[in-house]
Amino acid sequence: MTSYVIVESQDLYEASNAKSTLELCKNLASSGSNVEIVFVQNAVLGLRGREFAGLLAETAKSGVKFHADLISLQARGIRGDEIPGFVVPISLDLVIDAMADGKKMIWH
Amino acid sequence: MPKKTLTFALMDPPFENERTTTALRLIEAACRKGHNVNVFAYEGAVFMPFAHQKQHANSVKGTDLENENHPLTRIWVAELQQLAADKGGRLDWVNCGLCVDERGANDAITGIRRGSPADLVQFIEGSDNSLVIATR
Amino acid sequence: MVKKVLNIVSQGFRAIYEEQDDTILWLVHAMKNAGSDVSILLQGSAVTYIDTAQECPKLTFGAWKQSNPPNIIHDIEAMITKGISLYYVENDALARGVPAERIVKGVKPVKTSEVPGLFHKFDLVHQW
Repeated sequence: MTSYVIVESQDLYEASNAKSTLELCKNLASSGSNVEIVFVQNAVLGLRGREFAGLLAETAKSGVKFHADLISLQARGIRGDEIPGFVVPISLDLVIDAMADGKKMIWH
Repeated sequence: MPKKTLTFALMDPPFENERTTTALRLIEAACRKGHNVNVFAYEGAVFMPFAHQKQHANSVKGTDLENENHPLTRIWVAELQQLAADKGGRLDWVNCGLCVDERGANDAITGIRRGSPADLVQFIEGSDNSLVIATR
Repeated sequence: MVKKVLNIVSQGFRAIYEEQDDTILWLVHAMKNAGSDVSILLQGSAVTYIDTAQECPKLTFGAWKQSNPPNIIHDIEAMITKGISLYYVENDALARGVPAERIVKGVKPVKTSEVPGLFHKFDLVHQW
C-alpha cells in the first residue's frame, strides 16, 4: 500500500488552495493509501479555533493521521489542549523518518 | 534506521520566509540521523550559503553584535556540513549556476558546488527519496 | 507636519527565526525612532503576535545555538512604551482562537467593520 506524507505549511485562513490539501488527503485515503498530514509554520493556526474544526475532523475520520510541528505550535502560543485530540504534536524527525521509509512526500 | 540518501530542492532566499528555517530544520534532522543529504538550491535559495553574509547589531532592540548573535544561513549550512560529517554522512549542496549568475551570488562557503538541473536529476536518481520545498 | 502613517502587518511569522524579530514591526519601530508618526494594524496571521503564550524555542544547527530568539511580545511592549499605537482586527483574533485573556495589554481591538474608520484617521495607509 502506498504511503503519503503531506506537509501543509500554508495558513488555512489565507491560502485559497490550502483547504484543497485536506481534500487531497481524504481522496488519497479513500483510494486505499496511508496518508499522514504534518502541519508546520502558519498552517498550525488552522488547528485552533472553530473555523476548520469540522473539515479537520471529517478528514481525520477518513483515516488521515494528523501531526503538528511542536516548534510551530509553541512559537504561536498554541497549547496541546487547544487543538483537536487527533492531532499529535511532533518533532520534524518524523518527516525525515518518513522520507527514509520511502513514503511519498509532498510539500504544500 | 539504515543510512539513506535524501534529496531536498529549495527555492526561497534566506531572511524572507519561514520556509528556509523549516527546510534547514529538516536537513538538520536528516544530518543528525546520519543520512546522506543532497540539496539542490534553485532561484533565491542560492543565497543561503552566500559567503558575504554578515552579522549586525540591532539598534532598535539595543543589542550589540555579540548579544544579537544574529543568525546567518551560511553559518547554519556550514554547521550542517560539519554535523553530517560528524554523524558519518555528508551534505552535498549544489547551487543552480544560472541562478547564481543572475543574482551575483558566486561567493559561497567552502563545500558548495555550482551545478545545473542535471545535478538535480542525478540527486533524484541516486536518492532514496526527495522533497521539493517550493516558493509559495 | 509629520504625516500619520498606518502600517498594516498581515503576514505573521514570515522570517522571525532568521531575523529574530518581525521585519516589518522592526522597520516601523525604527521609523518611529527616526521621527515618523507611525501606528500598526495587525491582521490575518499576524494577530497571533498578541498572544502572550507564544514562545519561540531556541534553534540549534550543529554547534550553533540560538541565544537571542525572537520575542515578539517584548518587541510589541517596547513599541507601546515608545508611543506607537497598535491595533488588531478583533474578528481575525477570534477566528484564530486567540484567548482574550492572553492578549498583550495596550493593543487595541478593531472590528473589521471599523477598519475604514481607522483608515480615515491617517494620512497614509501602508499595507506591508
